[in-house]
Amino acid sequence: MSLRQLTCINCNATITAPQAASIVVCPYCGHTFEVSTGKKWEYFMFPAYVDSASAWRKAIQFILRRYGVPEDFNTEANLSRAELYNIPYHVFSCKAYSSCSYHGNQASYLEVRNMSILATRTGTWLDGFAETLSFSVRGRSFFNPSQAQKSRFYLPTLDYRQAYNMAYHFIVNQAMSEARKSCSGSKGVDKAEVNYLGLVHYPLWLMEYTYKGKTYKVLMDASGGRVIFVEYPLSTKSRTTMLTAAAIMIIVGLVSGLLASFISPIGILSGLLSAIIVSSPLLTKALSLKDKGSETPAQHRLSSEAWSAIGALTSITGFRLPVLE
Amino acid sequence: MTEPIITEKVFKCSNCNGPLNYTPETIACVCEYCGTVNWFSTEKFKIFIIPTRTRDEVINAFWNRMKEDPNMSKVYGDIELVEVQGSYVPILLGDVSVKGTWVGFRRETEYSGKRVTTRIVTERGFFNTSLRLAVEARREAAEYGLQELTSQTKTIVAQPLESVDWKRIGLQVLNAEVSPEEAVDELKDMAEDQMRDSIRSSKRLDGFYYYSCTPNVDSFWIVLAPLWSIVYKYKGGMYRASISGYNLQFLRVSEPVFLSQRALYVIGAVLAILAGTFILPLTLLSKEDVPSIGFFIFILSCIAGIFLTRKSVSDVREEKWK
Repeated sequence: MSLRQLTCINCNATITAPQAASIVVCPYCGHTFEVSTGKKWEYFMFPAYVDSASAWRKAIQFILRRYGVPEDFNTEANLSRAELYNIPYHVFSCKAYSSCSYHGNQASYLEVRNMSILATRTGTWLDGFAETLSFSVRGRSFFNPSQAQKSRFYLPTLDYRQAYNMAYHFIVNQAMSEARKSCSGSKGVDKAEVNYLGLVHYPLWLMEYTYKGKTYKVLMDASGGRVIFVEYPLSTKSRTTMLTAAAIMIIVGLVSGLLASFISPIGILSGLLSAIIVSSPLLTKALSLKDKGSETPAQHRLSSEAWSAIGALTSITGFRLPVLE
Repeated sequence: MTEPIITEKVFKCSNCNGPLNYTPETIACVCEYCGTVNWFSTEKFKIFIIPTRTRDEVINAFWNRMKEDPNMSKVYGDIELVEVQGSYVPILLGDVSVKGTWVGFRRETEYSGKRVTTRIVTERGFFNTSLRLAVEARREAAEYGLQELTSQTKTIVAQPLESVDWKRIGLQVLNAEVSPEEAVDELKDMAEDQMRDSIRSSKRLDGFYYYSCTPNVDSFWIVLAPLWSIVYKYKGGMYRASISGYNLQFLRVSEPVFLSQRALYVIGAVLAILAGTFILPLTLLSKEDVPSIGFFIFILSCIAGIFLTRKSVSDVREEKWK
């Protein structure tokens, strides 16, 4: 392997890199850059600060605060699977300028977004949650091979150019909607810039547990210890309570509806309707097989299917995609 | 992507040449050998810090609140502190001057007897002002209480980094993730949006025919603000609280929902059903024929009812401070 000497743009250290390398990570300051352009890239990991035991403990404690969890949950729930996934995201910073003219007046708008796009498919149920994951506010580290070895480590399968196109469509679309909010005249997107910053690996605990013969899913943030998703059983007692409350509501609606129908025949309808609407959260919860919960807000990011839909839309409107080298 | 080339050389202390433990979060690195503080990232941004109160003071503030809270004080003995963690979170602050003009519209509905007329009122105006903005300087981050901390930071006078003893910093310090160029763009975008939203709500507009805003970022800086996250347990369940290390103010807290509260929510939902049931027939009966108002109140009471029913089976009550 032929080597060459490079100078880090950030700390001026001398780096020895293979001749063929196009992107280099400075071992001294971690600065990651493209050799040909000197452009800065990032390659970070969120280390897994939370081990499987404490992730599982946190999941149980989260479930125990929910309404209607069986009393013997703590003793009967058994962890049957715990795997640490390390999943990659392509990170972009994007901006776009849109403009609008209204009766001879010109206005322009700037839209700026950071975007992380899930760069792989694990083929498990965590994919859907990973797409809308928000990052924890915990310390990042530079890429660390030993962290990678301890987990199911996924390299990006989604090419960064493809992800770039998604980010591009998204920011153009955002800039258009920004213009729509501000102006009723003729609008357009003048310019969009998407900067590929690099990769981030994020750790997640994919867990499953059994309770009385049934399996339930748990997904924990291994960096910040947040509950991303849990499934849990509901006790018969709580189901009965909820059904009773719903029944009372419907009876109240019916009786008061009958009374109100003396005023106008529409009374019975409005009584029943409002009772059914108001009691619906109780009914759906009481009749569902498993209940679900989460304590992390989903980022308002779009899934890849939605991205391609946006792509199709923007292609109809005639906005041309830039070609990435 | 190539593998990093690992050599024996590491980042070195400016004073004694000892190896430094450098991570992407490093703003200042205290040399393990000679104690010299080595600065990084300070040439990119002006960085300030809001020094935190001590861990013990934070824990005391937590217990005091629990003692004073009318609901939590009843179960004071059953509360158990599980985790107390503090970190300095980077927040981007900026002063942005904005000027621009706008033409907006508002739909006004008038009821006169049986006639309902809607007319569109056009309003116009201009502005020339300055905004203080704050936003987390991390990419796509979400943390309990972070939003509240960010808005609190706007009003606090932060201190220069050098005023803090980095050898005794104690907390995890997180670095800003944005570049200065991104920071300027982000502040401009925020200023445009915030100005538009504030005009829209203060003038009660339904939309804009035209809105133009020229933002100019006069200055921007990073503030490291202390965020304390607390996890506590009550009857096996886990709840969170976040406290500002600046003035020990609660930013956000989740508390258990007690049985008596659940019962109250259900009663509220039943009242909403009653309101929904009677409002439609009553408005149909009235001489002033305004069924649209009746229908509107019917929908409102249904929404209120759903909200209360959901609350009755929810796991936590959230309280936030802005």
